[in-house]
Amino acid sequence: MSNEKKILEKKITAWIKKFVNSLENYKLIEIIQDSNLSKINSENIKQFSNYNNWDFIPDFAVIIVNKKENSKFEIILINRETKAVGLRSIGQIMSYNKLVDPKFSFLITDKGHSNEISYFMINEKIRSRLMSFGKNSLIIFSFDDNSDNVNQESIIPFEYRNIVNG
Amino acid sequence: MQKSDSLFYLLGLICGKGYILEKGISINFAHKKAIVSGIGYCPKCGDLAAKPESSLEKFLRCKNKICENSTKNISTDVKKKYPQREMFFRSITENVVPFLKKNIKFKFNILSNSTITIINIFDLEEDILKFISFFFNGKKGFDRFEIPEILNNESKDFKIEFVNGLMDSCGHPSAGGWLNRDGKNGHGRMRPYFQIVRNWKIPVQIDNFLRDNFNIPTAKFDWGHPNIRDGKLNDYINHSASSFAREHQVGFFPENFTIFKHRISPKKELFEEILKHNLKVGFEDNGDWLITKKKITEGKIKSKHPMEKDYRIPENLRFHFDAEWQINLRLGCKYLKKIQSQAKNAEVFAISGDLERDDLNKVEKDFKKISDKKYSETDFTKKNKEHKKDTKSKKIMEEETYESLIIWLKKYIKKKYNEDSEAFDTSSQTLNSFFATKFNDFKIFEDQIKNLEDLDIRPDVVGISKKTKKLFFIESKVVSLGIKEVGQIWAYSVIAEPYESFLISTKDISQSLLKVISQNDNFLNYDDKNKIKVGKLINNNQVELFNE
Repeated sequence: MSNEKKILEKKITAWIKKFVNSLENYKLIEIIQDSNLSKINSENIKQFSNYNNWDFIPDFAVIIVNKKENSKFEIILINRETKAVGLRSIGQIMSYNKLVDPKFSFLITDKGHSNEISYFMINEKIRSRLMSFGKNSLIIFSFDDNSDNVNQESIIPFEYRNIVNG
Repeated sequence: MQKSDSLFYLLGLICGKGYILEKGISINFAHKKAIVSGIGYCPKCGDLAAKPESSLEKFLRCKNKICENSTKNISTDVKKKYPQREMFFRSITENVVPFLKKNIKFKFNILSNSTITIINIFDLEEDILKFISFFFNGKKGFDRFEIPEILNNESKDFKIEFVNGLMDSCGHPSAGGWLNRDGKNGHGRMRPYFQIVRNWKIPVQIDNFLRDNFNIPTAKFDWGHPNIRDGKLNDYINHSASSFAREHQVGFFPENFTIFKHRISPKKELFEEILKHNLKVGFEDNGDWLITKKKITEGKIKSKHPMEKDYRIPENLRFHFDAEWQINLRLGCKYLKKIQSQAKNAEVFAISGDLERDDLNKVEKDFKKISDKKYSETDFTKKNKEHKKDTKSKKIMEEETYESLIIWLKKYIKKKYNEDSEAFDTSSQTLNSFFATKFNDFKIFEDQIKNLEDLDIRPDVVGISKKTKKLFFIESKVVSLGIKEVGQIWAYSVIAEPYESFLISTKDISQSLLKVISQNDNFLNYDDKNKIKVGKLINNNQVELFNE
């Protein structure tokens, strides 16, 4: 794995812990990295009724538990890109989202957005069709170059800016 | 709810390779090879004929050393051939479904590719679905199912049907890999097996269930554990460290299983072939693994393996094992526990299979010392060159498929819409220039094309019908189509809304994608009405669509 990827993954791991901590009533159970979700030997994954169809490898699958709703298990999916996010990477994680219907789904990049993505920022209809799943939306963002903080201006869709920063 | 033989057969099918979905059941029948072969016999002496060891040649040699065919080539045509995909499909529709429908009301659909056939059963009566869920203790997939105690209380006929279902879903009668044993009238003992994927509990449960209820033994266990599958570290040395993590196998001899039967072909025919062989050769013992000696001698102690603590192994099995039965014991085999209870020291028995010794510390120390010594003597520089294949020369490049797909798409549009069309590959020119040069009335779709260009949407092949100006996309792949591969063409299609959108590969659709599209009706949808069509390019000129 390239050094770039390692650094980004380290940032993501630190950030996701803070993010889950900031969620009311949720507790972090397990962070699964680079594993096929239908094949991993994790009792936590097997709590989900459709896990057998999750025959893919997200960069991160984060299992959280809702402390209020009967300790219901939920999942966060994260893919990372060390190049500009484009349609291919959005399409890939959206395929996962359609199967998993995660609580949150993030596409995190350290190179910002390609021209394609800029277009969606101003085209609400296309953006919604491309990034919505269940009642949620894919969230795309990047970290600041010189810190582990989320770059506020990078967050798409806009309405998720407060959520991402906790 | 009325219990029936159909219901228990269905439970067996589900237990072996099924999933319980929100509103139905899905059962996967794997058939990895397009064609399987039966037993090869020498036309001269009638002994077994097989491929020479380590040979890639496509001929057989007689195993009888005094037969002249032991040095001459025998055609593989002496073996019966079974085309699996067609046979699975036919026997599911003609045998399995009618048997289930005898007592259960449901609707179904079947999807298949060259390696798997999936039947989805839905609109089951609610109490049946509830009972199935109760039977499997609320678990959802075959890798977590267990054989419940309550099954022992059912009638013998129901229990037989349960095993029939298991045999049809995860039983593998195979004419290859026989046991090298001489019988009264010949050689080679055929041994089918249950193939168990990612479920560590059920192999021992199958064994104990068969013994408890029918007094029928199994013959051999093969565990997906590094000490068992890769005892000499060959895979580890050859950079396939995780190759141990394959399915488990529970072998059995067909002559002990004559009260059971297959309904799925070609399992049925293969089972009959190998049963006939074993009966003809004639073996005196029942081949029970349980009665073989358990004592582990120095030669059988395995080297330690660096993958013994691997995350794919359940925590209670992340230990060193020298024999298959030790895993059975740790997983609670009650018949082994009975043997263990006769040992002077139960822990010594678990390590060494020795019923007499009592010196636990010494046994532990000695076994570890030998295992460590074998590891330190392993030659980690040896590589297995035989398995290296030059696949590069056969590999089709993605670009080589475009021309064929252009021709196919034009024919497809003509046949389906009775329209002429234009199609091109985007690697040769931009969408703008293509449409500007090919269409006089380019302006009518200029805006649409501009969007595609602005967004850098470049499916591999784009087509447009000349009369009604319908837009078609093809994304071409040369890998097996999985969930990941759907993403790109889906995103293009969501934005550009083509009239039809195709994802086509030279390889088969993966089992996982086939499973997903058979269970999730909307997974391939890119708008309210249209879904991506998934297909395979065959012989670089035909396309088989899986979901049209």
